[in-house]
Amino acid sequence: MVKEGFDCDPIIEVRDLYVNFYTYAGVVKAIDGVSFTVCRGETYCLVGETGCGKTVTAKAITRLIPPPGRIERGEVIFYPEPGKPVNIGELSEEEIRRIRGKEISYIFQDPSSALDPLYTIGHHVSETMLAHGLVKSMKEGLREAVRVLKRVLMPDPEERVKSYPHELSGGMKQRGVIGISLSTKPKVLIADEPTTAVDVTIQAQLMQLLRDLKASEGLTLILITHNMGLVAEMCDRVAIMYAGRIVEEAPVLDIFKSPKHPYTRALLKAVINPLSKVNKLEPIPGTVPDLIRPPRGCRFHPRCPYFSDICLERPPEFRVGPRHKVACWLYKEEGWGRE
Amino acid sequence: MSKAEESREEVYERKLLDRVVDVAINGVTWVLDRIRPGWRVRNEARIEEFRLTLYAFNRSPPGLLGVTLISMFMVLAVLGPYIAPFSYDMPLVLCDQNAYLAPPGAVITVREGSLCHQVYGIKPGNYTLILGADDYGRDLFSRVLYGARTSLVVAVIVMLVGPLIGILLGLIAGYRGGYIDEFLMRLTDVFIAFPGLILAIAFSAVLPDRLSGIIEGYPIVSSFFLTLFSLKPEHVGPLANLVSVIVALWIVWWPGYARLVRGMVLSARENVYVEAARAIGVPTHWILLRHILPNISGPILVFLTLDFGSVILVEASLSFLGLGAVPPIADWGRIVYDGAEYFPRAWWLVFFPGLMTLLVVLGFNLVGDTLRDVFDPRTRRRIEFKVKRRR
Repeated sequence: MVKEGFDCDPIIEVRDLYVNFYTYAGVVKAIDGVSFTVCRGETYCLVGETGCGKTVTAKAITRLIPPPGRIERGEVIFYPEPGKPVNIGELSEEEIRRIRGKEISYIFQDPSSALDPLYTIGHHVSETMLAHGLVKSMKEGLREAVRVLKRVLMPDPEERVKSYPHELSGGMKQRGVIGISLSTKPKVLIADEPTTAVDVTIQAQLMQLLRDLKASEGLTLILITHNMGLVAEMCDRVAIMYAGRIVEEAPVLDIFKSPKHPYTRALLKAVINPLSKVNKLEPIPGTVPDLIRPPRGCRFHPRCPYFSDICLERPPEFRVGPRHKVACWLYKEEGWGRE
Repeated sequence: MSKAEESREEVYERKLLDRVVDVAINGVTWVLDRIRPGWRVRNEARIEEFRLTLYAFNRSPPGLLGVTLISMFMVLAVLGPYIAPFSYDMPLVLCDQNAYLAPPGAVITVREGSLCHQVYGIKPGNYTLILGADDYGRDLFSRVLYGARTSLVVAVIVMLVGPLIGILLGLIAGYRGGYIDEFLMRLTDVFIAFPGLILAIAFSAVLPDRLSGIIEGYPIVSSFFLTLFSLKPEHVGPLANLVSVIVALWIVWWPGYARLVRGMVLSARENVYVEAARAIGVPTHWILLRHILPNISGPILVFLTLDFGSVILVEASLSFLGLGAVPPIADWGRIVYDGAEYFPRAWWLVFFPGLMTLLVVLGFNLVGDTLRDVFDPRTRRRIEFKVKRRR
């Protein structure tokens, strides 16, 4: 299992994942050969601009890709206990349902649309626990829900448990959603841009909450974001995605200190980099490629300042540090770890 | 006056009807609260919302007219057989020659010791036939009352099953998608492509023979239907025709619902909360029944109300075409059909059952329209302004 070249007890392994969407315009190759390993207890970040496939990757982990999307190839291995692999692709619908929410839970971007307007927050929590057999009845679930809301520091949980979504503020709703996801004590929490829909002060509170919960419950967190500040704040390791591929993967400090891939560098110049003293932001020239007809070879090559002919072939992953991998021909010679 | 009552007084302009609504709601919630303590507190928001919905409904005169028409129809259908002066098949010509095509308001006499008195047990004396009589001298008023029962029972049984099939198929087709959706929807298309009335005619022409065996073979079934339709035991034969109309309407009544529900499910399942429910492992049937169905229930309810009138109309049409109810069973469509022979001389045979059908269908349509206004958030807001107290 020490495939990574460092100490890692894997909890989720994605191997060579391909996801296509069959639209009228053509086949969108949304995920094109993504592989990564998430270690138990860490915070793993998927970073990239809109439409690069972060969310699709996260959904593919529990086969939540909606039609017309389809997982074309690749495997997702989940290790509920160390050394006990479960191949997600081989499970029946009922088996995967038992994993969703119970073992691997989600938090969605916009809490106000993630809650059914017809039910109270307590009902949502209760329903989740009931769906996984953690409580016997809705009534017991509602009592339990108060405790759950307390854990996510919902103010006045006894009263809020009876509130409908429209009676709650954005921050409270997101606390509620986190409560729903954590009510089953999952092992992995996938948070898809959890703070995009709330304002900055609430963002900080929610992130603090997630960090505390992660520490107290031994969670593994997969954080999807395009917010570099959040990445620096929260993550242990970062995967940078571009046009359906992971272009660079490294511990968080390496990403900010020595970004290798031209896209990562461009990305860091385009956002406010907490470690850089340069304050002028530079946009990345060109546009995001059309994924129905993606560029040949490296998908970044049309926008890349270091373009050369070899870029028309797909770059393999090169190891440039003990835990630092990059998919770019520039590092062909670097060969870290080779004798 | 309780505190809640006072605050309601401040916010809403309450009419007399709203107070009636309040009394009714308070009564029902009090009972439910007794049965399950704490029910009222837990469902405070729902009760308040329901109350406001009824207040909004009260602001629509057509809706109230519709409710009046429907409730009168219901009362007539339920109590009709008990208040009817004669049985639906009593040939009064046997008592008095004047009963033959008697006009509304005609008076007939039953003599002491006559056939009517001794065999049929009708008390001697003078009787006024309010709505007249048909060619057998059957009292039209009684037959219209019995006909209300026939219409209501057919409509209720059809509406209990047909839409249910449609809603279930629509939910499955819309949520599942893919080949299942394709198959179910093409099947629906086939049924819709056939004019419903013609399909119903075909079925109600073929089914009675097959159904009569079942109905007559099982006394429980036959006595159940006889009681529902309030028929005499000797009319078990024509019963098969009535039941076959019901079955025929089940068969033609689901496609509309399947299509309507599928369309709404397609948009409802895109809601993030449906995806979220899936992502946290809520079973599919919970998602469909607890998250999707309640969120699309408004339009379905409107459709159901409007359709109730349509079923009554189609059932009357089938009887008018000679399918479904056969004499001597009282059925509005059939009475019109039999009376058409004597039109315009005996105009009342066509006019009164026709008028009843018209009023009932109108009632359901008015209520359906009002419900749509009340359930549609866009028109609802406008109505709510009328409910709120102007300051």
